[in-house]
Amino acid sequence: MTAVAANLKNPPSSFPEGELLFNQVRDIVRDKLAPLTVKIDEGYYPAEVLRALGEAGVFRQHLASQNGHGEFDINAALKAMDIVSQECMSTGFMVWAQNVVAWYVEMSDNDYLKQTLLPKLARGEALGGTALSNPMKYLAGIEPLLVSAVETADGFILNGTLPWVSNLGPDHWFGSIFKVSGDKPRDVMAMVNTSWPGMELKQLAKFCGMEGTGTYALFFKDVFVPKNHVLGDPLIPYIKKMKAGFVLLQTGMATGLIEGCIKLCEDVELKLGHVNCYLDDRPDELREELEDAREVISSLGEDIFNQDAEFMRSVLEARLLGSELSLRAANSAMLHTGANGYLHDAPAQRKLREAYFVAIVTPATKHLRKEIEAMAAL
Amino acid sequence: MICGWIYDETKGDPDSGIAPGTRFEDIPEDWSCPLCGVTKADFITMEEYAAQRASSGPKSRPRRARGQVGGEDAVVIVGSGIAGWTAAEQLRAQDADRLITLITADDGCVYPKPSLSMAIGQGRSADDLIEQSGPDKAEALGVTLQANTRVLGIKPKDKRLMTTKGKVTYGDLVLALGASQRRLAFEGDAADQILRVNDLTSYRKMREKLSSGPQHVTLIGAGLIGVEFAEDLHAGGHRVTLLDLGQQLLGRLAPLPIARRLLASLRQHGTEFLPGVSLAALDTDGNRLRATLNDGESLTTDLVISAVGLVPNTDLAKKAGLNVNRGIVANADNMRTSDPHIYAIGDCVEVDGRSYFYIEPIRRQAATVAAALIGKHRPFAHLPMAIRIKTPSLPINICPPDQSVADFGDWHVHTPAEVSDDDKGTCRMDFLVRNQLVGYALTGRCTPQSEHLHRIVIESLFAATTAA
Repeated sequence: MTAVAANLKNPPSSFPEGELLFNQVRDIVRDKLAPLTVKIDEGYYPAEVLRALGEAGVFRQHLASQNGHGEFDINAALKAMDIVSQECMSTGFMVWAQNVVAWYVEMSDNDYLKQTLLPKLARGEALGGTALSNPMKYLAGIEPLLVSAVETADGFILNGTLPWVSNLGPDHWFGSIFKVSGDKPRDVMAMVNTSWPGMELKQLAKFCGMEGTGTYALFFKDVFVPKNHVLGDPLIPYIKKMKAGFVLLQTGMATGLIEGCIKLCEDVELKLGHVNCYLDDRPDELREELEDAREVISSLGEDIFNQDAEFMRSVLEARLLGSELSLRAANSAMLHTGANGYLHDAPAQRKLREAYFVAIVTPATKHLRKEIEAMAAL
Repeated sequence: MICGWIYDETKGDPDSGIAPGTRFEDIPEDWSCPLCGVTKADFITMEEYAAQRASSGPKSRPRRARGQVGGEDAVVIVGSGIAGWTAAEQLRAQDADRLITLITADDGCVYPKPSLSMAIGQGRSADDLIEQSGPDKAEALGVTLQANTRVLGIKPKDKRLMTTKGKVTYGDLVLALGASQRRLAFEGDAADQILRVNDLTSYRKMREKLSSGPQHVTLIGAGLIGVEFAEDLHAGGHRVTLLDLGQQLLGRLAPLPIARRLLASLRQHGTEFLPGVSLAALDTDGNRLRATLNDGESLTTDLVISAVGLVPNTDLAKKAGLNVNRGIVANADNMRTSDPHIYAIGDCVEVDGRSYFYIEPIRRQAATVAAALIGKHRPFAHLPMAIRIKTPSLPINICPPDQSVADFGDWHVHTPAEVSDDDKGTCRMDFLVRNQLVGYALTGRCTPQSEHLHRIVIESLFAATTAA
């Protein structure tokens, strides 16, 4: 009995898991994130929130090497992202970006990065972005690769541009795919730091929302990337291994956003139910669909290394469903809340913009449909 | 309360100098709504408001404004192949008012699937094969078409589907999910480029890859689809190598003498057949592909098509907990699955242990399901399959012996091939069980006998069943 009691006082893992973790995430969302949501939408980068989430263990759930229980718990990572996105999807998006940067290293064979950088990413001490928007579109045959490289004995020298990479700032990390010319032409992926010589971040565009996501255009001028930072070479087998996780992890943003939209509809039920009942996509209907979607996503999350083409198609479809439902739920939140949802700082109109983001961010709805159609022929 | 703004005592109205925590009755009378300007006297409690508004609400849930996809009274058909559309047609013909929704992963267009393996020689593109667009067909039948939508899951208990566009409820569900070409795993950096042609989308892709002029095509699998493609690709000006792990063409379908005749005629126009061989790896080799075979040999090719057999698409049914064997198990009486509101027809289904990958039985299954949906009884009968193999250099008609008798008889030459040059392919073989004709294979000038022989086979099968 004493042994059990002692264990309860000093749990073997120093990281909270399961409901304990999710409650801690809810506390961070309520105390630290919620007061900043509007500011983040307008341009404030909430580094302190991300670090608090990192300390709580949000970025390590899917990393078997870092989470203390040796499993790739995609579903726990998704649920934490879901809880964050219910309040602020900008932050949910950055949770995804951070999760994926860590995923890059976890899925690679690079022991050096696994020992040096990965623990910091998993704790949120080091932050980073995915930077794979252009490469993902390149691999789907949508646009050319925008970064090129020359190989040297101990590394690569990069030149080019990446538009719109998020969760960046000084001394942040991102994964870059570049086209190597020379004797052995190929595509390679490596980890790059924004503060390395030759890197420049420029905030060129102003978006209609989600401005606090640390989104920049990246300029590479003779940036030297040492070979001990390579993630994937050859690239394709590496991408195949990590792609399902990359895409499926995004669905946590969508489910959280949809949940947030449903709550907005429910909140005005007492006041407006007598007339909102004339609307399509009522909160109870949306909730049924959300729970179905979560069920589909969670069954995929348990099988993340399945290499079957059918499985990848299901992941893309789940991601597509996330976009479609997000748009409907946000539209519904607008119609249910009426003019109050149209006020300048109202959550409903912010969620509407967030929903478009879900449908536009890579892989976008059109990109997903293109990939799914291409798979139909294989 | 004109604009709907709610005074929350915990938040107060700091912009008007009302501190958080101020009770509503303690607010000065001249205070007004910060949003619309009405005065304190116009405010009522939430409870009063809700009661007031609720009394003006409707008694039951209003109808949806948006066009309905599916619905509690609707028949929802999943799949727009021949099975799916035929079921819609048959049901509409017998019930003018039934709500029907057809959900399909592609655009729903109507095309004759058997043409996929004879259209290259005819110079027909994918678009040429389309008989009617999905929306046109749907309009003609009065069916709601939900195209480009994949079904992710079925909830039989709640009678609803999860799709990539959200949920769809159904009264009755008809699964016409089709089958897929079996996917074999191959090594090599170009293994992903191997095509499996089983629908218009993949046919279109094949035509794109062949569009740059005559090429060399490697076909994995020398079954029905394999030999038909071999002939058709040749007719389109391409060179073909056929691989098969078996020793003959049409291994599970045709007797050896017939297969030999077909091989002779394929060889005559340059098609190569490698028996006992399959692909091991496919790699890029400059602009072309290098196919490494499992006997260690290799060949340079431009396109690899895999046709090693159809596998019923059963994943959805399996996940939904339906009874699934090789195919989705359905009852011949009404094509109903193990769920009382879910039916299955076509390539995805299994009836009494048999799959039916041919058009004629699929149409009859669609008629059975349509009858069941309007409360009529029109059971699906198992009939011996009369198959016409579309190999113009040597036309073949085959009625393979049914699996229940295949082990009890043998092929016998009825009319041997003649040796004259203009008629070398003519041959008739019979499959006899205790001197009863239960199957046949015809080539050349014997093929017109097919109809007559098919009737005899049906009669002997019928006699056998009644005797048992």
